[in-house]
Amino acid sequence: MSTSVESKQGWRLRRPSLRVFRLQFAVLGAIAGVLLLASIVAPGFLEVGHLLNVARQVSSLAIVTTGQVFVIATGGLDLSNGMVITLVTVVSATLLDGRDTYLVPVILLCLSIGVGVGLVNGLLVTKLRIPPLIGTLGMFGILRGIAYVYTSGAPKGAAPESLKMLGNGHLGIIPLAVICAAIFVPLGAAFLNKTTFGRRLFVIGANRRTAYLSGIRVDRTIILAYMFSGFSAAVAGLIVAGYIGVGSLSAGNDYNMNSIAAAVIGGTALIGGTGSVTGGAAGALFLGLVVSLLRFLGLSYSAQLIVQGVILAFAVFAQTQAGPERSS
Amino acid sequence: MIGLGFLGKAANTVFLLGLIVVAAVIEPTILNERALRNILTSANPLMIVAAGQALAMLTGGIDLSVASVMSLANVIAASAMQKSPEYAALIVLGCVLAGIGVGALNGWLVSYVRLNPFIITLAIGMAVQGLTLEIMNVPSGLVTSGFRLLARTAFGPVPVATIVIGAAFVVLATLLRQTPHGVAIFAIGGNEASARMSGLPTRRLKLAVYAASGMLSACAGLFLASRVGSGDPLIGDPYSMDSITAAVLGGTSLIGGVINLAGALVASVLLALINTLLNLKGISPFFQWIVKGAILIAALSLDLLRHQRRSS
Repeated sequence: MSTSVESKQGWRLRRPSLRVFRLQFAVLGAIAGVLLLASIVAPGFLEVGHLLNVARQVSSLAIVTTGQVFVIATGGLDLSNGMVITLVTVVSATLLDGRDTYLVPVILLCLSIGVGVGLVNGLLVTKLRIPPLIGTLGMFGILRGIAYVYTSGAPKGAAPESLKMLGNGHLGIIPLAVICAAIFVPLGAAFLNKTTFGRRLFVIGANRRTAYLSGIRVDRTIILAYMFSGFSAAVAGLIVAGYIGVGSLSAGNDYNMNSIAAAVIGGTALIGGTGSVTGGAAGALFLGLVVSLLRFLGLSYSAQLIVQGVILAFAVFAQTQAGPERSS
Repeated sequence: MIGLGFLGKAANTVFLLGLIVVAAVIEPTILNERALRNILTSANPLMIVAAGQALAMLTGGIDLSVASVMSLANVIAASAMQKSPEYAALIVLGCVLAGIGVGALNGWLVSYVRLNPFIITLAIGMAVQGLTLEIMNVPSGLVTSGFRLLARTAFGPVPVATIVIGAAFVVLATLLRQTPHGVAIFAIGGNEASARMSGLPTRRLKLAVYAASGMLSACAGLFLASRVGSGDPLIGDPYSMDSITAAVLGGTSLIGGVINLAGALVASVLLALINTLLNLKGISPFFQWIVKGAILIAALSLDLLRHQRRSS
């Protein structure tokens, strides 16, 4: 009641660092909590090999979450990224069909699919002013249709050795996918925090009008954020394709929800103006640990869904409690 | 504002009706009694959920849990009726109450805890979907023969359920426009802060709206159980997106403060008709997802264009 009637649009750039820091701290605590719980109920879970396997599963989610954080920082949301992963999996597996001959052009094609989808999302959100959640949901439907029409509804193709290496291979004992994430996430974080482009995303998310009046090309910047989100989904899609080994139509199913959940758990506020890529990666790690612990304990997929829903609800709740800003 | 908007909204509904007539001219085979009945029957569950979705959108929110709530009611009905068919009426009541319960939880989280409706209904929907799969993993169960009549009784081409739904829509529209609480819901959608400052019980009303949406989703799930005769834990899946499409296409705005129930009804029929036409033409059901996504985006762009014109 203390804020103005139109609410929500306050100048928030000064405070979030402290706020995000506090939430990130909470995530690290939560991760430690899961590990502690695991050491009591399932000691086998903590073997190095198993933990590295969890890290491998998490790495694609961490990469997608990086793009999602960029979009959420502008006050948007990308629900189409899961389907970009599926589409990339299907396209790369069918076109390559187990051979490395056309590896480079196909990878470039897959990356441009991601960027292209992001471009369309960005145009829908900025030029047509469609609410991001619904626009990208519509895009999700369209991409699902394309993936199914393209494969006639059955898994198809095969990933070549090089992609399998990327999804499944190891360097020493460290999975290659983890190395990819370990390169991608810090680069994304630096991009968001240290470049003018990254800072502009925060300004737009905090107050679009102020951003416009201070000379930022708002539409173009938002479109670029969606393109980056599509790009990171495509990168994750290539890793997922290598891991699964075939063009699976359900490969990306959980990624849109989970990337939002990971971002939120990591301290990125859905109203925009804040965002932490490293927090998002920590959120992804937390989610991955919880899910694989549940699986390790033999809980069904349905129980996992319930737990994930509750975690997401709780993360959103924790967000509203943590920050000085509370919308309306 | 409401009076003036009404003209524009009527035009929208007439336009959708016009599209249905065009479709009938292009494909006269849909004009026989059986085809019409099938189209209306397949539009029925969408009409019910779209009404709930439109209500949530009227307050400026959204309900993305409708799909899971539909599936939940669907599997509870089918599995419980198989075990104890003699309690069919009680089971139906229980399903409706479960829908109200989930809706009320959504409403409480949105209005009292003040969480973002998009994400919180998504999260609750996820949890409810998990619960649904816990109850029933693969399509199974059986409903009683009496319950099956619900979706199968018809006067010529018009299913009885459609008539009931139509009547319920009239009652709902009257409640919204003629009672103080109904008008207050419009006020919330228009500007929630000023509605609250004018002393309206905004939080209670929003809770009621989401509870209503949950109840209607449960009813739609029950209708599907009656029509199919058994339960399916994923039967509601397409309805979250479809209900938004039907509501927006019918003239309800995502921005809040505007609702068009008649439009949602006609839009549901139009969407069912498009599905039937694509099936008749032998177009892959996968292609229908592309069409539906495109319709959703197009409907939204039109809606926003309309609002830009009105405000400028």
